[in-house]
Parts: sequence; C-alpha cells; structure tokens
Amino acid sequence: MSEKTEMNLFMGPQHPSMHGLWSLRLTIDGETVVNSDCQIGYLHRSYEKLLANRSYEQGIPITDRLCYVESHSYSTAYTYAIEGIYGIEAPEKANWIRIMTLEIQRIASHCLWLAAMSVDLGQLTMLIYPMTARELLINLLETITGARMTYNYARIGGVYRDLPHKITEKIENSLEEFTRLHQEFLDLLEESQIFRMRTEGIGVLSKEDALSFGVSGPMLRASGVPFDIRKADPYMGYDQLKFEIPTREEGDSFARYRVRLEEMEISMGLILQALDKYNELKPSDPYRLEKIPRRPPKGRIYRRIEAARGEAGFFIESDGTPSPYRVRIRSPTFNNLAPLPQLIKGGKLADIPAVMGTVDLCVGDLDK
Amino acid sequence: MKVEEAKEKLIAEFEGKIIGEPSIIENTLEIEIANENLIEIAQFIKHELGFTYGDMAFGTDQKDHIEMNWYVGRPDGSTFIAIKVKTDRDNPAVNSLANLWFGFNWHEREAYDLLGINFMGHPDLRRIYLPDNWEGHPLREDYIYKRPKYYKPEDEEKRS
Repeated sequence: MSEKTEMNLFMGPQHPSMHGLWSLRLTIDGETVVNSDCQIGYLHRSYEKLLANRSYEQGIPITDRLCYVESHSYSTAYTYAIEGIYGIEAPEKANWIRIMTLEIQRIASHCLWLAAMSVDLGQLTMLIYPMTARELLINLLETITGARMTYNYARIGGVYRDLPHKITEKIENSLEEFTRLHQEFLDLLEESQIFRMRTEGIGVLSKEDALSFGVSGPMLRASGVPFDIRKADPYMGYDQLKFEIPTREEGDSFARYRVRLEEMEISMGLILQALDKYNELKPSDPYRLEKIPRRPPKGRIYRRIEAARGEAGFFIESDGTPSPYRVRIRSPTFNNLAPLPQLIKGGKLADIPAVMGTVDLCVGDLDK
Repeated sequence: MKVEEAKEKLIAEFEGKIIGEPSIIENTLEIEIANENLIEIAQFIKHELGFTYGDMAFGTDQKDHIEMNWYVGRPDGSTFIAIKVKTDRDNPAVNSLANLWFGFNWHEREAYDLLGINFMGHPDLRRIYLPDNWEGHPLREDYIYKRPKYYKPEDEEKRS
C-alpha cells in the first residue's frame, strides 16, 4: 500500500461554520488534517488607504464598519489614537461613558460569539439564549447612541452626546436580567457532556507560541498569559476601577470559552463601577471637548485598547495636514487566526469548527 | 522593565549600530537600525531583554524611501520596542523577522502585498490579501488604481 491517500479539501467561503468570507485549504489524509492554508482577503477594502484619504473626523464612521460585531470599540480606538496625535485628553465624563459603552459592546460581542460557536458544535438551543441576552445590551446601546449596529458615537475628545435620563435604572435592570441569563448559559454548556468532549484538549496553544504569534485578548489569556491592556497599559481611567483578569492555563478550546464567559461577568462589574463614577459628576460637566483644531501637529503615535477579540490598535503618522499620512490598523483577529494551521494540524476534520469557533473570527476586522 | 532601562541596555550593547537618538513615545521605544544589523539586534531584544510578544509589523512609503517597523513587547504588556529599518524605494528588501516572532509571518506578507517589500529569509512570501496576479502595490503613494481583470479559471490553471 504505497498509494498516496492525501487529498485537498476547500472549506469555505460558503461553509456555514466559516463565519464570513474566508476559506481554508486543507490537505487531509482520511479524517486527519495534514496541512492547511488560510486564504483571506475576500473582504479586503484597503482601510488604511481609505483612512489616509479622509480627514480625521471623516474616518470615524468608517472605522465603525471595520468589525460589524463590535463597531464601537474600533471607532473609540481610532479617536483615542487621534487624541494622542493632537495631544489632548477627553474630559472625565467622556471617559466613563466610553468605558460603559465599551464594556456593553464587549458583552454583546461575546454573546454573538457564544451563539455562533454553540451552533457549530451542535448546541442548537444555545443559538437563541445568547441572542436574547444580546438584545438587552443592544437595546442599551440603542438608548445611549441611537443606533443598533454601527453607532458613530465616538468623537475626537469625547462622545457624541451625554447619557439619556433615567439610564441608571435601565442599565441596572438589564444587567440584573443578564446575570440570570448568564447563569443559564453556564448550566446549558458546562453540564453538556458533548460540549465538553468536543472542546476539552482540542486546539491547544502553548504560552510561548501564543506570545510569539502576537495572539491577544481572551485567546492569549486562555493560554496562561495574564496580559490585558486594561491592566497592563491602562487607558481612559481603567486604573481607577477594580477588576480581575480571568486566566486559564490549559490553552485549549474549553479554556478560551471559559475565559470569555468569565469576562462577561467582569465587564458587568466594570459597567456598574463606571456608572457610579459617572453619577458622581455633575450633569453640567462636559462630555466632549468643544474646539478641536483642524490640523494636528506633526508626529506619530501607536495607541491600543482591549477590544472583545484582543488588542485593537491604531498607528497614526501625521504630516500636519488635516488628514493622516499613514494609518496602520492592528486588528486582533489577524494575529489570532495566524496560529490556526498549527492548532488543527494532526487533529480530526470535525475538530476544526471547535477550534475555529473559539478563535472568535470577525472577517471585517481580519481583512481590513 | 521600563522603557528607559531598555534604552540604556540597547545603547550599551550596540553602541554605534543604532542610528540617531532612540525616541520614546508613551511606553514605546523607537530605534532605527541598518538592515545588516537587524537580525543580531532582534535576537538580543527577544532573548536577552525578553520581548517575546510579536505585536505588529508594517511598512510606510515615505516618498523617497520605504521604512519597515516591527513592534515587539514584553509579555506583561508594559513596554514595547519599535524597530525601524529604512530601505530603498525602487528595490525594497529587508531581512525577515518571521522566524523569531511567528506572528510577523502574516504581517510581512501583508507588507509584501501592499508595499512590495521583499523579505529575505521569509518562510512563505506570498501575497495575502490581493490575488496573485494583481499588478502593483496599493499602499504605495504613486499607485494608480486600475480596474482589475475579471477572474478566469484558466488563469488559475496557468499558474499552477
């Protein structure tokens, strides 16, 4: 039997578990994955050029479309980097509003991930539960920003508008309801033998590889590296809030799932803390800087924030004109997907959705 | 490790090999070095100073030259180093760091794709976003967009 038994298989872009437009070229031997190659770029829109061709303010609504699951994180990251170029700081009130909306956005993004991943693993009930919970958070964001998907809420030196009246009760009620639903997610998944068998020990990413690949966010923390930008390089006043960083040592799919679920709880605490800090301020305090000059000084800066998927950073080089000379988007998914061929190598074909699901892809952000 | 400490150690070790004065922007140290010293200094930064986190890499077309930047960080996220190498615009070629920090594999492929920088020693230098038959490099300042040719299956056959 010296006959070659390997064959090539294309997974995606139409495959339902690919979560968007990209494909995986697999070389398989029976059911075992021998080799794989990620084919990305189907959604490439040349964001770096688009941003460099527009003025700083015009770039904000575009960065909203970078990732359709958590658009607010990216526009906030962009405005935060622009503030670094201008050398200005947003008022305190704006920072608390930003932290609140960012954390609501993080939970909403994790809910969508949970729904999509559970369906990949055959847990069809879990499609509806997180989507119902996500609705609570999207409704909150709708009340605050006026939109449900692409918010266009971030501004240079603050946010578009102040929080509406009676938002405190609304946030508290929604989070109370969410806490109950969160416990239901845990009950449904952790006690499911099938779910545990399909995720435990699958797609193990070692600590050294995770760092070398530049993996960030929950995926890095699931590999045992307690690196969270909110703690390591605090921005917008995260250093005044108390929170823990959930970390797991295993580095497998189950660890990545568990870290994200624990992060949802942490985020709920952060929202309430930021709300308290917000309520200490007077209603007449500014939520945005009034006058921003049209032309920033020359210079370069790289600023990063912790988005739901990991480190979302913007490098901006300014040449003194109203539009940036060079913008570089450091998207977390681009780095998080790179170790995928290594994670699925030698495993079974049916394990690919289990690994890919917990990487938490967003192709808009991956392809830029 | 603080940024200043990393700066002192680098200057003490590579006196004369660092071009100009290293600048500090927030928690990032920026150093400019020549291409022939890149691998040696990068190995020192990774193994001796412990900057094991391969953050990102990108190139910029500066009209008269092209510069390539690699951002690496400490695993605790406290300090970052930006390594900058300048290269010729007509025939850009720099050494690859993809074997030291695996994450730079894709980032360097992206720089090759969008700016046309050749990375010497890269394990798998192909275009990453655009099709293999794309003409030109879109992030160059003098790039003019031309309507791409429609995809034909026979082109695929010719290439393979």
